[in-house]
Amino acid sequence: MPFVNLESSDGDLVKVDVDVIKCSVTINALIEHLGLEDDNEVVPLQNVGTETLHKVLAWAKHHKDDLPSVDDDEDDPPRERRTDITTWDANFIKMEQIQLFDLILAANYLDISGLLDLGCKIVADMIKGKTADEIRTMFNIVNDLTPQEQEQIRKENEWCEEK
Amino acid sequence: MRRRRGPKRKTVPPPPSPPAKNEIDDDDETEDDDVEVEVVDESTTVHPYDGRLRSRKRRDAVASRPRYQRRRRRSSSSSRPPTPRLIRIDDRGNFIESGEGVPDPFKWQGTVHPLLIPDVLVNVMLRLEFSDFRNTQLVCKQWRMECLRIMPLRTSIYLNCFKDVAGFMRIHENCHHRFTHMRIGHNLNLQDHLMQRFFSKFGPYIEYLHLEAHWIPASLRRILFEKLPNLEEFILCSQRICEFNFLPSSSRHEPEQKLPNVKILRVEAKFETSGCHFLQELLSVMPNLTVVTGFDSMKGKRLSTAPKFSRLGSLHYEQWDNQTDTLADGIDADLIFSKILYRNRHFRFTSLKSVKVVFDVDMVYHLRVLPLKSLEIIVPSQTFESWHPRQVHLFSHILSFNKTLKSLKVNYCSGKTKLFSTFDGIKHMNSLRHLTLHRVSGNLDFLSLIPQLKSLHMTQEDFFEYYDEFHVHEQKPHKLESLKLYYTSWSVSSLFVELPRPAKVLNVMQIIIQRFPKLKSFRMESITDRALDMIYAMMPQLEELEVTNGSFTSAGLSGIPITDESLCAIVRRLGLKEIKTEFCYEFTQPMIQWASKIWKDRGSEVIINPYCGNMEVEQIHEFLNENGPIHVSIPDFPVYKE
Repeated sequence: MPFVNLESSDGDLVKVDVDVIKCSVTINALIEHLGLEDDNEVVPLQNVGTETLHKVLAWAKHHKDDLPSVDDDEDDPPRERRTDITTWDANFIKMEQIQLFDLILAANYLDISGLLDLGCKIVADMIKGKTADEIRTMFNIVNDLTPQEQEQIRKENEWCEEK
Repeated sequence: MRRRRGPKRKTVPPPPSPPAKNEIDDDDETEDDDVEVEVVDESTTVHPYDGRLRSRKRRDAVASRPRYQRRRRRSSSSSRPPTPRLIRIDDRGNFIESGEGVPDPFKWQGTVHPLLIPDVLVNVMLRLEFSDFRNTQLVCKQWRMECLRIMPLRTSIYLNCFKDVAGFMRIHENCHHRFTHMRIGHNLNLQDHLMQRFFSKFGPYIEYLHLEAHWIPASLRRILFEKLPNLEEFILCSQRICEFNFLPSSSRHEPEQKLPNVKILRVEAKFETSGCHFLQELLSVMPNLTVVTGFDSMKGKRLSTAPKFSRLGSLHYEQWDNQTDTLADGIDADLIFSKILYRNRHFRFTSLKSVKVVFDVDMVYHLRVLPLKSLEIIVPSQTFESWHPRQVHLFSHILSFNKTLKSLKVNYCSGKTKLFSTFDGIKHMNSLRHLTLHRVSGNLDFLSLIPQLKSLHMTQEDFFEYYDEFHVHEQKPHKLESLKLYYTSWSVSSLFVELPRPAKVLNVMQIIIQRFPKLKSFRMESITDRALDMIYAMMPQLEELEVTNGSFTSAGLSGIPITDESLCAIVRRLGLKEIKTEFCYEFTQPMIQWASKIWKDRGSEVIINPYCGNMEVEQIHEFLNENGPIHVSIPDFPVYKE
């Protein structure tokens, strides 16, 4: 079974089954296009800490079998899309906010759409129903809009209906 | 043992920072100048923004974004002080509010704030409601910019009076929003000068137009041809009966202008006999349609000339609701689209993939050369008398789709026929995966001819009669994944069908379990307690179970009286996504009150059988036959998954 060695930003090496990490488009592209014929080669991930990398790998390991596979059923009638999170994912994503953002960064960096979707769903839930001030406070984002721009935005947000 | 080899080292470079003033921290910026980036394959590149390897397609999609030179420093969570802020999430993955209003302040220590990375921000925003956009736009300039991109995708504008239009134009005269979805209500008139101005200003952005306003062909032409260059989906409604042409007489045979971008046309209007000219001409200027849909009754006559549709991919017309009236006037009535699209020999539908037709052998015959993947045939009641002599032709026509057809539905409006028990040719339909048979008769032996079938949905009044003919020992197990059997139908006569004896139900369940060991989705009626026990014990692979009109008790569901714990236990043990119950006679009044309260708190409506009480299983069958069905439905059953 092929393996790949990932090096976290903390300098730790983690040996990973290629089947597990294939959910990462970034790593997958490296393997496919550059070829990692030697099991001892190292792929440094300079933006992923050891702790976050282990979380990513735990998620990838759990979901390695439910990645979509291309088969002859691509034209089948679409099934109902599940938008709820499984209990495993819900337990997995219970973490501190800073860890969640580390995970989102790692998922974005490694291009793991499922994990990114999971993190973004949690963030979206946190945003829903909040005022702009609350959102800025919650995420520590600086307001660089002028009062005139804010007034213009308020005026524009009329005459619309949900699709 | 750690081992590095310089020349062979494959490195993913770190992403640079987005332009966020509050995120840039020059003091502890750690530039990774020694990072090596080897030349990668031509189809793959390292995107300068976030450092990910992207395919060429994806790279092109983001090519317009600014390239930031600043690299991102190492983000190690260990270098940051720990924060006590814990995200609270329930077992279903929903964020739980702290209940204290404004959340605790939070300080992101890294260089790149995740919520200022466009890809992440867009992913988050695509999950927000429209009401949230009012606030998220006010957070900062970058959020505002992303909102301007996302909002039009999630928003449609509905204008239904002059005051709406004038107000919208005044507010959005200098606005950055580019709304692409518009609905113009029936109180407006396209001929009005204000509407002309509106379309002149906003028309170039419109991709979807739902037009309910009053119009005449001239004003409609002017707007479609001159103001809406990017229109892709057009819904045309008319309160009045259309009895005119769409094109002027000078260009009817050879339209001067076309609408090549329109892919979807939906027409909700009534047409007089001459109205088919209007539709034909409208179709003729839309050469790249992929979907054509009509909703209302439209009477027309055969067309003399034909537009060419090279890319038409789907055709549906909804005539199911009032088919009795329609059919009284003959099948040809009300099907102007079918006339246009099937009867005219000049038509070419080289890409037609999905068709729903009221039964007409000729119609199916004309379709036979097409690579259909989905076919739905409605056999009206009037046709039934002459059905048998013609079914041979229909079967041969259906067989002509054998290489492509994946989904086949046959709906009989009344009566029942042993359709597929005589259709040996189905064994040649190698691509068939989904089969729906409504109001048919006979056993399921034909399944052995189509071992590749994945789902079978069937309505059959005499279902249990034919299962005696089902010789399970002579059949191999079938790989069917979804089996939904509807014993009763909506016809009046079915209300008086006597329910099968429990022993027979049990026998049928045994056969189904042995014959279909890979079922993931199963629907069955007249289920008993013992049959439920068999399902629990012998169908562990089941993901979805629906047992309506059953004669089971709460003990049958769980083995113990239903409580909160036992309900959860049932669902956990079976991994069910959904369970519906309609007859539970062992509910007690406190149970009903408890369940009602729980589901009401969840925002669900619950109707529970008032005939509750301790009833023996043997009594239920008699009770149902004497009293008929009484619905006890528990919608939105909680979903748990381990």
